[in-house]
Amino acid sequence: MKNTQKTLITFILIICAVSTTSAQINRTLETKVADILAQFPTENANHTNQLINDILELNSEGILLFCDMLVPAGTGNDTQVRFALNSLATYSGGTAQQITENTVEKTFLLALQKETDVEIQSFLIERLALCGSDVSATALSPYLAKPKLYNVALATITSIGTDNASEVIFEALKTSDNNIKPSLISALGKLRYMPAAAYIQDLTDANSIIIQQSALTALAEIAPVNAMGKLIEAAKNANYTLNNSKAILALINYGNRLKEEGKIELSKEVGKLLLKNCTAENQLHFRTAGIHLLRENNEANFIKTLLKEAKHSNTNYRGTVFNAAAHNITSAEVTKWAKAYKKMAPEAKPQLLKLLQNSKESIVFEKCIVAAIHDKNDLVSIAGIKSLAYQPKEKALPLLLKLLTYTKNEVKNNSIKETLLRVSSLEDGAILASNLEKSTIEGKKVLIEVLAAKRASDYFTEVVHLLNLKNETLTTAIFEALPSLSTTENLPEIVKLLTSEKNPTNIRNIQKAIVTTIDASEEDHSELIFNTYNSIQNNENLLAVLPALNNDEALKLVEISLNSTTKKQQLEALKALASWRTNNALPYLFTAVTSINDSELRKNAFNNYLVQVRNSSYPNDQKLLLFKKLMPLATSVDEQKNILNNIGNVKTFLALVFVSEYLNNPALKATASNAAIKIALPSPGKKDGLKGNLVREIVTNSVDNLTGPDSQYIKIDVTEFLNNMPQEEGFVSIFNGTDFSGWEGLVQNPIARNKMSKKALAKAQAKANAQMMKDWYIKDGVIGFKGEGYNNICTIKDYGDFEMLVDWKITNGGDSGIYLRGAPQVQIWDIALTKVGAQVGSGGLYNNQKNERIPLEVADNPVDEWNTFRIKMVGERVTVYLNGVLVTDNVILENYWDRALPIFTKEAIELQAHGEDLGFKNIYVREIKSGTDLLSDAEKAAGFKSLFNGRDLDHWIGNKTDYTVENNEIAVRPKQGGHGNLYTAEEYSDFNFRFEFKLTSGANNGLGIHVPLEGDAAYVGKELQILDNTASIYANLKPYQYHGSVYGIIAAKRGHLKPLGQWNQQEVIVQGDTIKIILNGEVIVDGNIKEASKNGTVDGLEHPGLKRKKGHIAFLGHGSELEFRNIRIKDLSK
Amino acid sequence: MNSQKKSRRDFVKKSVAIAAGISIIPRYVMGGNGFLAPSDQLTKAVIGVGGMGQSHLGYEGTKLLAVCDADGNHLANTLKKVGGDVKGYRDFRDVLARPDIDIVHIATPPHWHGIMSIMAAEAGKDVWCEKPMTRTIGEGKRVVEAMKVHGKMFRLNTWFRFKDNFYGLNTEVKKLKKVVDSGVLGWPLKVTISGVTGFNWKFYWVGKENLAPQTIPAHLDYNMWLGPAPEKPYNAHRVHSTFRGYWDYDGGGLGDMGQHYIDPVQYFLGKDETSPVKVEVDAPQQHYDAIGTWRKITFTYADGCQIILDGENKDKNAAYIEGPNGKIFNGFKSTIPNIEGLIDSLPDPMEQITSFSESVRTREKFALNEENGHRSGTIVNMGIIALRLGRTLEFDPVKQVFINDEEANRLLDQPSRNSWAY
Repeated sequence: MKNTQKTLITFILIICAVSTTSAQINRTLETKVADILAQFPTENANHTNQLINDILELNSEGILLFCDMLVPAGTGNDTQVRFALNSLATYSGGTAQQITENTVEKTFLLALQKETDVEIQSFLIERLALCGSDVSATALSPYLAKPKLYNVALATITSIGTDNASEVIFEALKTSDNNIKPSLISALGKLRYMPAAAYIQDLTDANSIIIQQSALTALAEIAPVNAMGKLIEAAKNANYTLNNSKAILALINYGNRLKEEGKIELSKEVGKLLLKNCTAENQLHFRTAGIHLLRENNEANFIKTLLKEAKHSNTNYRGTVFNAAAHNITSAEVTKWAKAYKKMAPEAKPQLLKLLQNSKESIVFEKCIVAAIHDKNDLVSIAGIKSLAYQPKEKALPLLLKLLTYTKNEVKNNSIKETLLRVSSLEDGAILASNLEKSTIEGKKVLIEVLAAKRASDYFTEVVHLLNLKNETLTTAIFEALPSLSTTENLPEIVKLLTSEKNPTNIRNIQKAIVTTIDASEEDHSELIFNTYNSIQNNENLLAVLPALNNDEALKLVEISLNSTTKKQQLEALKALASWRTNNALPYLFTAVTSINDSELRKNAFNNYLVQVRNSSYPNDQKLLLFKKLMPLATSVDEQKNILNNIGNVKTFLALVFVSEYLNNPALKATASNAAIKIALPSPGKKDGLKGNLVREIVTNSVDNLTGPDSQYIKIDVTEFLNNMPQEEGFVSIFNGTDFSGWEGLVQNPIARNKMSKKALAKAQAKANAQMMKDWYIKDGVIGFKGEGYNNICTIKDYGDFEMLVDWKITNGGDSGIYLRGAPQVQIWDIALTKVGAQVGSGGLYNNQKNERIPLEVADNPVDEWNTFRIKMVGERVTVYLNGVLVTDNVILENYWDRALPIFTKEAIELQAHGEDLGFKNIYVREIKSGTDLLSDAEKAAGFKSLFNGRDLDHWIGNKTDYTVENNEIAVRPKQGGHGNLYTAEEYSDFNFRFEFKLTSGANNGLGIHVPLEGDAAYVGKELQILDNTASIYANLKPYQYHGSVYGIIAAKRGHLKPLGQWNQQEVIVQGDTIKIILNGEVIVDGNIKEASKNGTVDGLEHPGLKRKKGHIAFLGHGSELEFRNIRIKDLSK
Repeated sequence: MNSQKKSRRDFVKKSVAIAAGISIIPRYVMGGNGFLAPSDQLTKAVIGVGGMGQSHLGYEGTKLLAVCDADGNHLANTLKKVGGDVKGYRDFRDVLARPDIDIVHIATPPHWHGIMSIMAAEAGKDVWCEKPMTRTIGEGKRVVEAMKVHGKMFRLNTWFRFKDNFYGLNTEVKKLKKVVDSGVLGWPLKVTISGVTGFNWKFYWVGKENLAPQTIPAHLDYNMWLGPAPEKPYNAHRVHSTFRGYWDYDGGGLGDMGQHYIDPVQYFLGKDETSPVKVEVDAPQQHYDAIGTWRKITFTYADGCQIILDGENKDKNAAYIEGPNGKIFNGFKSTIPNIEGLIDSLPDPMEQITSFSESVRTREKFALNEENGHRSGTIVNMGIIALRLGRTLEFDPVKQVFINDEEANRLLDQPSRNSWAY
């Protein structure tokens, strides 16, 4: 559709100049409204503001048109209208209010008057809560009596909140039904509307308890001074407890409101009443309210009451007394509290200390904190210790250190430690260390822990020296501190400590200290470690530090220990492997799983193998192979689950396929389902979700098996994921694991084969198929080769552009490959075959001569182990990943059979036989269909040409920023900031143009024909509408604006677009002045432009482009998202 | 009533006896899992047992006495699960009327949090409330007031300001607090919360536009579920586990995860007693009902400190905390050499009470309580209001109102439906 504002304005001017009729103005307004609406929702505030300004220019009449488009919920889609109207409300209600001079508000009210649907009425009234003024408050008054609308009307009037608004509510209250009264009363309370106070006070005697309650509550909130008696009486009637009248709460709030209003004496009176009447257990929190009230009203000498109340036996209540006391506490009060400390009950002392802890008065420190610390009651003593954290360090530190010279109590010592950590820093290390000697054993422990926490490595010697005391607790603490206190220079000493230590916990800590120290050091400490290792007999404790050395020699020592006969040695070796820093330890862990009989050791190896694979630096394809390899060795359901959980972190298609095999296993299906969904769905913030029919199927089958706390959320994600997944086939299995369906024996090469007669070919094929059955076999889902010759098998189907996944393995001396489009090959061979150059690895294009044939790196797994190829072939170029490593990077595959020719455009995929044992499995292909592939045979025969190859915009010129290629389609993404249209590079006069398009809601584009590269295509050429005219924003279109119309010239038949999200097929046949358009099999336009415009154009505008006979074909952007694909043309002029 | 009253008294007497007994120290003082003799055990009720409420059933050292939900299915499933003498309720007011319940857990959608917290305090209960604390700033202020007036304890259910290893940052908040307090990064600081720094925003928590009315299922008391929220035709997407996508009940990924991510930042920046003075949003236009996504929200404090929510993870090099003199990245990587050593050498931050049972027994405020919780909730709500209005807003942290924006102020405290008075 045309949406150029300038044109429209010109249009209006023309019309106004000739003769102004309301019908014509309406028509222009409607067009304007639709054009504006099409741009909602916007991507940013600037665009919103610009559109709002456009709307405001249309005045009330225009805004009403928007309101007219609201439809009752469930009867259509008015989303864009609601976006527009809400923006209008938020825009006009804020700082920009003056510019609209209430136009928006008045128009909304007009619209509301006409409206009969309750939901739409509510929508409009709710919007007025933002932009409404007194005008709305008055206008909404009748709605306060409507059972279904009074709530929303009341909310809006309350939001407006002026005196006039309150008055409207008050008036309504006088005549309202009893069931509405409580809401009206509450609103008047919230608005604190004093003129209603007397009336509301009368309602506190109403028969209805709910009215009573709301009246008391509102009265308290309004807080007239003369309501005191009433509120007290009501509280008294309720015995100062919480009943349905909520009178006690009203009284409390009344007290608070009086305070706020500066009526201090009255407020205090309420407080005193509360104190007097609220004494029972279930009234104490009301008593608290009284305490706060009096405290905050600065009741004279209230400290006396507080001091008394602080002796209350209820801890909860006492706590609130201290909290009230903390409010604006004065220095004089601090002194009083401090003096009262001594006589406080033990259980009150900690609370009092909390109140005083921030006071720097010396009386607090001396009379309270010091006393508390020495209190016999541990709770008090601990509170005292903790409060030292808030005192100056020079006071706190000596006291804490002193305590350590005699306390032995563990809980107290913990508090001392916590407090020391809070008051001291590294610079206090010397004082802490100097106290080591005189402290108790428990005290020493605290000091060591604090020194370690501060990493006071300067005192390593002092701490380690204490080992001489041979106290077990202390020794443990010292070793625990070692990792934080050791530096490189201590390394020989701690290594030595390790050789003599027997306690397992201590050993772990020393090992940790050694590892930490080596890690922090830049030198190589291998010599020290190896020398020690070799010089002592029970050297297994040193195994744990070898990963820190991280060299081959260290790994060798671990390997030897793994084969040792003592279990301890083996266990330590396994632990070392588990924390190895490179991937090199993995094979040893795997061997351990297969070869160790001891179940504990085996389990250890099993679990650590998984951890190491997970943490390894391998690409996902390789991780998957390593995980899968362990599955047959799992001996319990738990182990199987562990593997599946790990595979859940591998986001590859084959990982999904693997876990899906367990979806029918009752014991494993929950785990497999969780893993499948984790693999398939995009990771947060990324667009790495998998797609295709098989993915859809697996995810759909998994979602109901989900368990765990997040499953609710995940299910929502899954629905969203499935809804948004593009409808494409994705990877398809081309080997079913049980027979040769889809495969056949190879007959010659493609060139030779094409020369054969049909009959000869059939005969040769039968022979080749028989040979295939002899040479190849299928077992356990694997295609294997048992023959001796070189008889490849190939897919019956031919493939053009595709991506392929295949797992393969070879034995010693193996040599094979995968032929792409009937030509050799992606190489597979044993890298030990150095005579033929196999040391370069597999995955290269072996038969290339001009282009690269050597892989970028060696990524092969050892023979007899599985490998994964990920091969992509687009055009004549091939990319290969071997076990996740890029080995062939977008290299041209040469035509081996005739080097003068480029590679065939479409041929079979072949698995090569080379005389040796080999196997293939998990063979999946994703076809990348595009361009010529999509032409039907009839189209090819008729001379159609593809204009879009699915990869790039080669046949196109113009805006290539907003028009991009996604999923082999042309995606229009107008938010990318480009300008202009996308034109065919060639010009056409008569033609048959076929294409597919997919619309988004309200999408607007256009197909320009006979257009030049400059100017507005609808006028300088012809524009054939491309438009989602099903959207409600286009409800008022003129027929010449419908989808398919020759804009402004010939109307199209409406109603043949497919539902949103589905692809539409369209054919446009242009011959001379005739234009015929077929949409989804239906002729929607069949006309002659000369005929149609002989008496002037329908839109009354000049269309100079009607005279053009030739030009580009173009997609005309109007700011909407949509997609095109399968674009082809037959030039009818030739 | 009387017997219950007595049992509470007994408890008080017992605790006095324990304290006076000198050598017996309750387990909560020593840490650990808070084992208590059954007679001392605190009791609780959980309101809202659909999604998050399920976790509350098992939280920390209290005995579950009652569960409540407006959905009969939720209630029946939960009662089947918890068994015993736990009683089920459809109306939370009946739960609050029980004198034998100490703590009320509120795990309803956020539009109920404020009202229920206040009513619980008025009934004399302590409160353990799900995040986000309240759906509006006004409700937050009233919760603060109610807790003070009635002397009740409040704990908000997010824990990163005191628990180790929060989200993607993989570090203790204590370390961040120490490094910020040390001043080594300089001042003011800029904190970026995004996938890059370890906190991905849950943008799939969005609503659907143009919902069609559906029949209310028989097991759901929709009127009660809506409570104070405006009347809107029922649609299953509005309720249970997808309510987060609608402004009437929550605030999408920002509303729901915002307080998780922002509260620890407020703590280590030392902003527990104030609020930002400005909020700026960069976002697509928001629908009036269904919550959408956003690109970036920036909060600025009076001293220049900033909290940046980068929804698109656009700033690929963003530091989690950045100051004039240094940066801390995801995983606690830093531009400051030997930062770990530096942090360890410094004094620890002041104690935070991290067991709510301890808070309830000692009446010391929990680490994350109604006051600092209201402040971090205010940051979230400032963001929500700015998003809804699509414009930059300025805020007065003392009066807690927006400056020169009447409309923003109307969103500070929206009127409730029916006579849900607050």
